[in-house]
Amino acid sequence: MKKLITQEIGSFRKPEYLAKDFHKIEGTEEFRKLAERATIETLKVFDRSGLDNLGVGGEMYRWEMYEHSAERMDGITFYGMVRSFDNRYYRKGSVIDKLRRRVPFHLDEVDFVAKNSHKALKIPITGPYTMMEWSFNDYYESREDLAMEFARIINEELKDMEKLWGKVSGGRKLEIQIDEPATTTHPHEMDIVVDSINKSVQGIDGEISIHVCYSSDYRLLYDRIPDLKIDGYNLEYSNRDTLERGVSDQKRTGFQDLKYFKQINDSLQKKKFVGIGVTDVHIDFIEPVELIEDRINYTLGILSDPELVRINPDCGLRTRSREIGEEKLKNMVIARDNILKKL
Amino acid sequence: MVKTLVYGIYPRSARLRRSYNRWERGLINIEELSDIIREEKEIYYNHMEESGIHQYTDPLFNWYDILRPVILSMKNVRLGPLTRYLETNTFYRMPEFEGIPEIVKNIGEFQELEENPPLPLYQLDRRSSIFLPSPYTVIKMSSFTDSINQKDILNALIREYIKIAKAYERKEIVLFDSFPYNDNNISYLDPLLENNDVTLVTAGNPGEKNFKGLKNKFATVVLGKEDKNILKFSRNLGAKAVDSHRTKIEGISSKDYEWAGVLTHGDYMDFLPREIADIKVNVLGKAGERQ
Repeated sequence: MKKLITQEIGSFRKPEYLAKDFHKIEGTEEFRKLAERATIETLKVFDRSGLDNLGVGGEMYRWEMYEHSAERMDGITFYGMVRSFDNRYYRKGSVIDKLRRRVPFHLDEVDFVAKNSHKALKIPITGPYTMMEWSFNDYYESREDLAMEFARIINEELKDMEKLWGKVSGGRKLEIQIDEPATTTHPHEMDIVVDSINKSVQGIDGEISIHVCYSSDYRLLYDRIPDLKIDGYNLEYSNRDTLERGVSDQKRTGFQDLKYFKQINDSLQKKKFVGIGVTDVHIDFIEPVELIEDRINYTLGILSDPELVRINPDCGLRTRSREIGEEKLKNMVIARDNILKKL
Repeated sequence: MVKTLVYGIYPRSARLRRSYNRWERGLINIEELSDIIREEKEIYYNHMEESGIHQYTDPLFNWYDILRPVILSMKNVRLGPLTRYLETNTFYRMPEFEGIPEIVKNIGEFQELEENPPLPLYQLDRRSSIFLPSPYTVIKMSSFTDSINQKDILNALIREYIKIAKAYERKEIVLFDSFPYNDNNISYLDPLLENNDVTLVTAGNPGEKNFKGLKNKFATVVLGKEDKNILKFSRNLGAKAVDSHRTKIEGISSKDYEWAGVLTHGDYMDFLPREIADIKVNVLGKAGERQ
């Protein structure tokens, strides 16, 4: 397996021509053309940066990770906006009836990206637990029931994606990333997390990873690694790290709990990979190559095997301008290349 | 008829959200924003009164979370990182206490603070009353430097809260708790109860042990379920008849809350879309008339 694969996590800032009328034109021919143009441009950015895996070209077809899927289901209605923090709001759906997938979520996007790139692609899809957690539940008996319904629907989507992938992949491996930022928000519900993710990916023949970010305790997730039927974990570490150079525990505070990951991973017959977030998507500061190298070297000091380590930003880069996003990705790839030379 | 209460941060309207957005981008100034907030508060007050709500707090349209701007008006405490509020998908800035807090800002004047939002703490028009996060909740939602004794912080917060009540010449205060007390005793609230009508919205199922030692009574203690023992410490009991974390509109039966003298909601309404919060207020008002 390739060592220290570089990848993005999902979203990238949309060009203004696509963002400004996104909701007004979504579903029209005009939207399709603009989304395709933005996807091509973003694939070029990723390619210029030197990424090994180009994802779906920055999720140009999706406004937001929750809303995109929720709007394509029956049984969910939107009453209005709900605060996330400060004066930032999002559309939180209310589940008012039995959930049904009305139309596919991502097939048009995957079809287009696969035909316009020959590199490896990782397809992100919002996971069942996060879909449940970010919805009002006005219909199902329990949170578990709702999460498992989302899992059923996501499994439908993934099965359709697998069929499509067979036609457009050109022999490339199917790579799915389940986005689950809400994973560890309710520690007593980790069983629901595990069961709903496993149901989502049941019968899917491909490489499955999960992306989690800004968890207050990744150990809750690490503890369930033996139960989750997935291959890897793409996680945020830099937001909780210092910006100081060095490979000591004191300098690399954000990465320390990888020691616990290794402890769990070492107990498994088939080891899982971990994609480490080496650049913070919430600051404009462009991490110098040397700092990123320190973060990777510290990780390799713990995990040893570079085939089990992938290199990515903490989360989707949509929070930063396209220019800053590109600079961050470039430094990430240079740092990886420098380390590969020394391995 | 049963008394009804609406408290805490109420969801911003689309107009107010847009206005804040314009203010943040420098497209309107602080005076224009202040005028819009006041107009929006008038709409809120009209809705409360038309719905037959007996007690309502300032809707706190200029608060970004339940700790700001109280914390921002004090010295020896600063705002830390964005932190998840309980198990919701809403975030607040965690206060970091470095010493004993004391109000140092003019809380009655409209002014911009270093970290938004602007003061004043309240614009108490009509019959609106004061909303404050209970000192216990402030402690639970904050971090501290090692040398600080949390009891000193609790007592200091009570002192400052009494100052706030005096500054606004309001005796009706709603204290809000989002954490269960477990074994903690809250009799340190006594000085605040001496001269004010305090409604305490509790979390979990508090018992006598949490209140023991109080010399003064609360006006109302809002509970998750009936507990007549709490009447030793409160003139009235309140019930959480409306859920602020579901959009489904409740059908409140008169039998459900016969034990309660006050009907209110479980958490503050800011977790709901404004459209739904307005309907739930109507339902609450009608339930109050029916009971």
